[in-house]
Amino acid sequence: MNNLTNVIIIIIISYFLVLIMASMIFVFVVPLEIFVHNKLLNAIVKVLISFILVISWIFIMKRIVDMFLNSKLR
Amino acid sequence: MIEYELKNFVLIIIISTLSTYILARLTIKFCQKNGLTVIDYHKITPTKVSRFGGIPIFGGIFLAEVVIYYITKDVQILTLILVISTTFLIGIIDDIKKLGGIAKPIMLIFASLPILFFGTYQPGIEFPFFGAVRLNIIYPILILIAITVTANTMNTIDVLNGTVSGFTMITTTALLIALILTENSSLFMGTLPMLFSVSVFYLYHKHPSKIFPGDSGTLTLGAMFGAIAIIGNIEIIGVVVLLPAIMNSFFYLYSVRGLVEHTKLAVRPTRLLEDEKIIGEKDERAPVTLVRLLTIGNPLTEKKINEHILILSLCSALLAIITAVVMWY
Repeated sequence: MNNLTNVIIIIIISYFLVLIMASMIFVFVVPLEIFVHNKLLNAIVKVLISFILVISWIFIMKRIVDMFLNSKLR
Repeated sequence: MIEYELKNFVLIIIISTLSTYILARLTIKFCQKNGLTVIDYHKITPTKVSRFGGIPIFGGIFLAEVVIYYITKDVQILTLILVISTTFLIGIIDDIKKLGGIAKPIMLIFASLPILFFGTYQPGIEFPFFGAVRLNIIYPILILIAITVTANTMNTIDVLNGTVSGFTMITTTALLIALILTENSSLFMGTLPMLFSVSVFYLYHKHPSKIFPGDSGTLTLGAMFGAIAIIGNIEIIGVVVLLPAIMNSFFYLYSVRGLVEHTKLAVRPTRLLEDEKIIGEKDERAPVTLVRLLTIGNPLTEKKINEHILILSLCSALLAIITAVVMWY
């Protein structure tokens, strides 16, 4: 496979990951009410979960790109 | 969808096309005459290319937007005018006196203020399959970040002759299709100048470039793109269509560990070979960029790389259109 095909595949994977991560954050995490009486704690937990999800997106994409780069560097 | 007469659309297209054409020619002549040029380093014999391409881009869009505001009296258009004017000013300052890696994003926050001031947004995001999600508190904070992110993302995709202008042509078309589906006719009219101005600019920016857009041009295009996505409530479409550029800037930031200007990099992501082909750097310290991914172990000419980036943007535009059809058709 040439580089263009590989990068197209990376873009398609990132598309599905963006949709999944964004849906998880805005549809499931944002409406969460874990601590009903403590709004601040609730907000902190939601921000933390969202942050972890965003970091996982970056991490997964970085791993995929690294795999591609390593195959080319070998 | 068609709330306005066809002659208005034709008028807008003529104004944005003609003014960008005239301003581009004048800017090229003026810059060449006064030595306001930069060297195009992707050529074996370095050629001098005119700077300040932001002037024809901004000029064409601005004039057309003023006319659209006169026709529609829509506050969405006024917001667009203010967002692009603020960004253009920041971009021109950056073109004349290089702003730091952190100063630029911070200054760009001001460009998002008109959207908050006029309240030209719906505090929520629409998702395919899940519908709309209301984000009353977080959304205004996201707006402050979003314009900075889109402006800088467009800036990082300005890598080769014709790349950013070609990329914007394709991405704006996807936005226009989403606006047709959401039946936002005045914002559709407000987006047309971006497509036509940048299409005319592409004629001068394509390989071999006669003019570079500079930060004033790329930041203006990026900020306008972000503003349209927010005002039109088509944020997800905006994110999907920008994916190649988002990945380019994300991996760059990740690999250099922060906001570092490309001029201060220890190892550049690509090298120019003697046959004028570009090859991705094999040194592991080199930042990961789209051009490096496309050329590592596979040297390509500048024209070919540009074609590949445009194919990538066509793919992301197609994904964005499919998403828009799933959501609104």
